[in-house]
Amino acid sequence: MRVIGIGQSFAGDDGVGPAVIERLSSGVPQGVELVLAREPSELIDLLAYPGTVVVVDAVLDPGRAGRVRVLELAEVEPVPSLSSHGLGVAQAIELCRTLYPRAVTPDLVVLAIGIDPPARHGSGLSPEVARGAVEAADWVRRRAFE
Amino acid sequence: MKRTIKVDYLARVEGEGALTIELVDGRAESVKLRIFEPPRFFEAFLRGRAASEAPDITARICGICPVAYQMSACHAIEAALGVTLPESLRALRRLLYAGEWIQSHALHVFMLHAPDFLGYEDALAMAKDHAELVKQGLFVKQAGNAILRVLGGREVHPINVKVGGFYRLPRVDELAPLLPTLERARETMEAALGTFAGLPFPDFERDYEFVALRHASDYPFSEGRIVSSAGLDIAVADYDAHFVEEQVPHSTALHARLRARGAYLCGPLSRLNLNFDRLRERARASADAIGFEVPCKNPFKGLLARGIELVQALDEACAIVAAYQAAGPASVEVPRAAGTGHGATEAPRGLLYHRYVIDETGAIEAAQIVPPTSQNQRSMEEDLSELAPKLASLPHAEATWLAEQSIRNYDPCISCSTHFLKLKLVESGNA
Repeated sequence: MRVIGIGQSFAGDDGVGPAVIERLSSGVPQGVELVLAREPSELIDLLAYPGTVVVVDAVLDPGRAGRVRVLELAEVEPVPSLSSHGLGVAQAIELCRTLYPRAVTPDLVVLAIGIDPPARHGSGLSPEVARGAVEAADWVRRRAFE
Repeated sequence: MKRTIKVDYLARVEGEGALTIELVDGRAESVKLRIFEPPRFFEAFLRGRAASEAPDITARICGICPVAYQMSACHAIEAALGVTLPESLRALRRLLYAGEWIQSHALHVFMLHAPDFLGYEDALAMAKDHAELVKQGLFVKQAGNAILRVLGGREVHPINVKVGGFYRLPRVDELAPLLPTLERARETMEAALGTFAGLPFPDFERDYEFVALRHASDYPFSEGRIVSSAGLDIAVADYDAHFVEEQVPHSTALHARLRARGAYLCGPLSRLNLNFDRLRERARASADAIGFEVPCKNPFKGLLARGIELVQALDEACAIVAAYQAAGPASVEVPRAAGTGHGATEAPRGLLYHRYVIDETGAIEAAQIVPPTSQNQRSMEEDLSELAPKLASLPHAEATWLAEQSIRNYDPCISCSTHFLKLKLVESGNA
């Protein structure tokens, strides 16, 4: 299993993806690989993987900060086009499936942790999203033991 | 017949802008590239900050070309304080700048501009039929990312640059592993350039005044005099005597012009036209292989100029990495003193000018920043004016496509783009 954390640690709750990776780094079952995607286009290569891939990312979920949802691929809404700021998660997934149809993971899960729209810059998670990070990390561990 | 071509939101550019062209009897009655992104006041909030902070603060102006802002700021402040860098640090700065050109040019050429020529709405759609081209683009871009990560500390908004040099030199065993990737990216780019040369470039030329830096021996990144195809040849410190920025009602970005002659062009096409003899051997061979001749006055061939500059940047990066020895200090001492300094470097999109007035405590009293897109805005609008007869002769969808493609020739950097395109056509009867 490969677990990919996405997010910006200096943008408050948007850093929940890296926070989950950090939490998992204290102990995961053998065979679980933890990765941070530092730049969106890196995701394309990381999705080319023969086993399960779990993408951990923050999603805007106003009023439901900390809610953890397990999204299958069809539930990830694609964004229409590429901007010069690079790729979104759904675009990267779609592009990887187009470019590497045989290599892309057959089992992709997006672990989406709800956040309120970030109101400030700065490191650290709100209490609600920190609880969501714990729940998400526990979900990954359970899934890894299956 | 009056006809209005209106693009409410330009896609595949950096930032928030719109376009309105009013055509009357096949002529352009007015062309407005409307930039409605709010002004960001960087020059104002630099006042009172330590000069040493300017590279990191101004880097935040752009997520695509932060190195350009860091370099222009460093050169301006070092000029104010009389600081010069040894050759070893100069080479590392060129390597970092090469990394940024590679990232920025690869993104634009392969992902943002190529779809215009091949007839696709975006790179995702293009990837279905041209997967290899997109793979090549991503690979080349990642070679640039690797340079920024190892030398700059991270891929976006690098944190290792300071006035006087770097905070930390990379170890040889950190930098050397990049060489095989850079060499493969160079070969990939040389091959891709052949593909790009076969694209259908619109038959269109304009007599621009090309403006770029020119250095005594090297293809310009950060040093040299400001020269133009009309004979301008000035020190960077004389920029304000020859160029001026003005407000226009339809844009929150200032428009720059040459005081003596008006619009001018900066960016890859200008650099190449004015510095073809400064290209490295492999880049020159790549240009020759596709029959690229200077002066090239077709703005659509800016794509090819970027491709040649990609070979140039990759080849220079290979040479610097291969020769790297991690010798000497990471930075030179920077005195605290009052002074005024000017810096101009070649951002991926063109000349980026900074000027700082520093007081005796080391704080910034005044700052001036002129980005390349401000300098090219007039030329973008004038291109569309000259394209007017062609636009008027095309069906509406094709005219809009060509107008947007023309804007994207400049890889304009307005900042933070999203994709939304809505077109309104107003036919208002006979003029």
